[in-house]
Order: sequence, then C-alpha cells, then structure tokens
Amino acid sequence: MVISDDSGQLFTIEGLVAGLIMMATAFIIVGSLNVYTPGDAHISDMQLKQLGSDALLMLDTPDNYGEENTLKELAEKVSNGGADAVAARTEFKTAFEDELEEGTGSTEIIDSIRYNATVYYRDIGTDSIKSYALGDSGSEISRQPAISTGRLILVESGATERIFRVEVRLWRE
Amino acid sequence: MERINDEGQWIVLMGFIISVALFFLAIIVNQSVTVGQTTSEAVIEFPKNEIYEVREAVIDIAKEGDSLTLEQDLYAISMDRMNAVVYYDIRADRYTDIYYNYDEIEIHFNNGVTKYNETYWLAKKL
Repeated sequence: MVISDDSGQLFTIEGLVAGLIMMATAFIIVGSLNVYTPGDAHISDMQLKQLGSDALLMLDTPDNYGEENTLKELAEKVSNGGADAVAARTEFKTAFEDELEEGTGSTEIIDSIRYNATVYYRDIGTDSIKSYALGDSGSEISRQPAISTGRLILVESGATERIFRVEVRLWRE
Repeated sequence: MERINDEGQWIVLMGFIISVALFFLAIIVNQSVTVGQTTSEAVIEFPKNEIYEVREAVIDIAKEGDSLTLEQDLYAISMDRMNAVVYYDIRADRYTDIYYNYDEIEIHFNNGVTKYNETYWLAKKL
C-alpha cells in the first residue's frame, strides 16, 4: 500500500540544491586546475632555441673520426668567396633542413620550422663585423616571433685561423 | 516582540571561515599566473647557449693554438652578436703530473645581466 505522506518537501528540495551546489563546485575546481600563463609562450621559444643549437652542434660534429665537420667546411667555403660561397648556401640548406626534419619515424613530423641563416665574421682591415647570408627556408613574408641561436667555429681562412659565427634565426610557421 | 532566533550559529561561523579560506586560495591561484611568466623569462634570459659557444670556442683555441687574430675575432663577434664582453687567457703547461700536461684556461663572459667565470684545466697527454 502506498503511504501518502507529503511532509518534508522542503528538505527534499534542499537536498537537491545542495547536491547541485556540490557538483558545480567540483566542476569549477577541476576546470580551473589548468592555469595558462602568458609565460607559456616562452617555453616553446626555449625548446626552439635548444633545437636550433642542437642542430648546429650536430652539423659541427664530424660523422667519422678524422673527417671534417659540415659546418666548418661550409664556413671555409664562405671564406673562400666566389662560387664556393654560393655553393655553401645550397649545401647548408640541405644539411640543416635534414637535421631539423630528423625524427624517429614513428610519427609524422609536421614541417613547421622556418629559418634564416647568416655567417658573421670580423673584417681585419676595417675591424668591423661583416655578414654573409647563408640562405633561408623559403620566401616567407610574415613570420611568428623568432629566436636566434648560433655557433662559433674555428675556420682555416687561407693560412690563418679565424673565428666565424654561424647564426640561425628560427620560428614556427 | 519576537524573540531572536540564535540557533545555527556554528553553521554561520563555518560559512564565514570557508569563505575566508576560499578568498586566500583565490589569491594563490591568481599569483600562479605571474610565476610561469617570471620563470620562463628567467630561463630565456640566461645565456646558456652563448656560454657554451664561447667556452667550446676557447677550448678549441687552446687545442689549436692561440693567436692575436683569434682573440680579436672572438672578442669582436661576442660583442657584436651576443652583446657580451668576453675575455680569455690561456697559459700553456702550467702543471704537470706523470701522465698529463695541463693548460690553464681562464674564460670570462659578461653580458651585463649574467656573469660567467671559469678556470678550465685542459689535459694533454705527455
């Protein structure tokens, strides 16, 4: 038999409201656990900078014992000037892009990194820093904020040892 | 006159305490925004890669042989491209033991914010 008892209705409503409040609180707390900070933009800058200097380090390391490394060869070609310096551009493009695209093969790499490379050296006569453009990844007009990293290289320029700096500017498309 | 109902004071008091606690928690969450900013700025500001570069170049110079041109090259490029004052000094064969000759290499790097000084002993087999 159904007991018809309609007392305690307010308590029932109160219980439902309390439940709703508790669930709303739980949702708000869980939702606000992830705090996105403005500084997070710098974290990807950091990673890009590390990637760039790692790529340059790999180019500055010989493949086998006794061999010359790619970056040094390229810088020497730049210091030779003329057709050698022009050839250095294409060689750097191939070598550097190979490094940037290096992956494990398990995932497809989204090729979103763009770069612009320059060689800097000191001109002895005028004692000023001169530069030689080592090419870029293509003709991008707009760009995201870029970071810059580089590597100092000992180069045999003619008979004298010199120091050049290969500098790359990296950004993501 | 109706008597004031003074029951449930504990509940009201607890409500006050919890709301004050929530206020302080909100302040902490607010501050976490600036924490991420300052740490990643500090990381990007610290010239780790530049110091590596200079250090490796100076050690390479010590291995290959020092010269005035190299010194001027390094100082000028560091100043122009890294905004850093760099100085180094290589004193060959400062110390010898039965297996090695040691070059004493002093490396100084200063970009106005970060200063880095190191004395590196380069071991060369006898």
